[in-house]
Amino acid sequence: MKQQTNSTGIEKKGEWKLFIFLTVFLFPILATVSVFGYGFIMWMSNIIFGLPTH
Amino acid sequence: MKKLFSMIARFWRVFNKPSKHISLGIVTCGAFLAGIIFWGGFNTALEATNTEAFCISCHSMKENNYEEIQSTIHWSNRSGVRATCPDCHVPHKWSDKMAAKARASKDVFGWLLGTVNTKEKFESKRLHLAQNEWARFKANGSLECRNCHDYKSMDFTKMSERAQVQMRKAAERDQSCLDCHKGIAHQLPEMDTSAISELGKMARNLEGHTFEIGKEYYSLVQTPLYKDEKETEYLGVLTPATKFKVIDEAGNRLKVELVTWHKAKGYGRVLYFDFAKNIVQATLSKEASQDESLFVRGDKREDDLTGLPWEQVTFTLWVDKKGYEESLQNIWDYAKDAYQTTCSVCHTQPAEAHFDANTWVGMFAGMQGFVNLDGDTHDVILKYLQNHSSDYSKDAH
Repeated sequence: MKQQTNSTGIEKKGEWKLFIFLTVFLFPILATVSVFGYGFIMWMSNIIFGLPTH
Repeated sequence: MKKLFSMIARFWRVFNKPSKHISLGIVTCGAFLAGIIFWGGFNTALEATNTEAFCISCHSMKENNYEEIQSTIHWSNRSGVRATCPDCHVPHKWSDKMAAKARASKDVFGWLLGTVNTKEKFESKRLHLAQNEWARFKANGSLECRNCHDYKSMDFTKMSERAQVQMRKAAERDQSCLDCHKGIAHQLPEMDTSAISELGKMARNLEGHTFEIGKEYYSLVQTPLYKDEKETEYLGVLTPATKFKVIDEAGNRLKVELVTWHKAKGYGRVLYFDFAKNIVQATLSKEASQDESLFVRGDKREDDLTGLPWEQVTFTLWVDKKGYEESLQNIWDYAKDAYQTTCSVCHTQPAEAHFDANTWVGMFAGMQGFVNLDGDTHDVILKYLQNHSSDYSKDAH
């Protein structure tokens, strides 16, 4: 019984750890990188297809 | 490394399953809040990079561009509206803004490598940097200017007459502001006017040339005119690209014949290329222009437009033996090149045949304040334009 509680505790801890990791680090970093990547693609397409017109 | 993989594998197992211990409510609320905080933070950070304080945190920006704008109307003016760096230099549309931000990451490398970390380095890069911005403004029709300045909101009647003429035309064509208004917020780069010295070089390179009697040559630079083969005091100056015929030589001088026109009223000190055309061949001293021994009078005609009598005159004068050009086309090639490179820095240059010879004088005079041309290049470009103006061009419009 005691063993089970322990493994439940580890499982719970793992879930929280991942949750914090995802919301605080990974997803914000991915979002920032993808925005920068979008900008980079726009920049490269400007070089290939010409600067934005009005 | 193995530890990292096992950690990722463990995280993936948790990631891939419904959560057992954290409720759906907490997961969604937590994600929602984190999203709000992230997006707010992201925009705050983005806006922080879009402030002047951020721009001038680099020395090269602060000590060059930022210093320079402070003497312009975009820094201080009667209405108290100020343009900050990003107003003009960062596109306002989100996608273009992101492209600009990504492009600006290149500046970070520039900063690390110290590309423009001294005044000299900045000056040597100034033209390149300016051309980048000019290309951007050219492509988007000076969009960033027009976020504030709009042709539709301009009251032309409040402008000076000279400005009105230009601005009305520009508005009709929906012209890009920077076609004309370059260098209004920062110093203009030093323009390459090396075509100039080319003329001088051509003149020098031909030193020691043997001149054929009876052959026609063209002056390359402003050339002093003398009374005889010895006199050191000169009577006047020939402008570049003026035709003369060599009729004799003595010592270091050539005796030349110059067929030209002058106004048969007053002293007639200025010699012109053609009847009633303000294309200057030479200017003479008062004494020389009155010395009948130097010239023979020819045709006399009256200009209907001004009522002035004009007279063809053939001068016989002396010039130093130096570089003269046999082919006028060579001179025009230089002039055309100089015209295109110098004038196109600020605007699309009008076609040569867009104006007549006399109009070009005023047009050119109005423009020369913006560029740094030496006397020879100035003369040769003007003459090139006049000789290819609607008066002489077959495809005039």
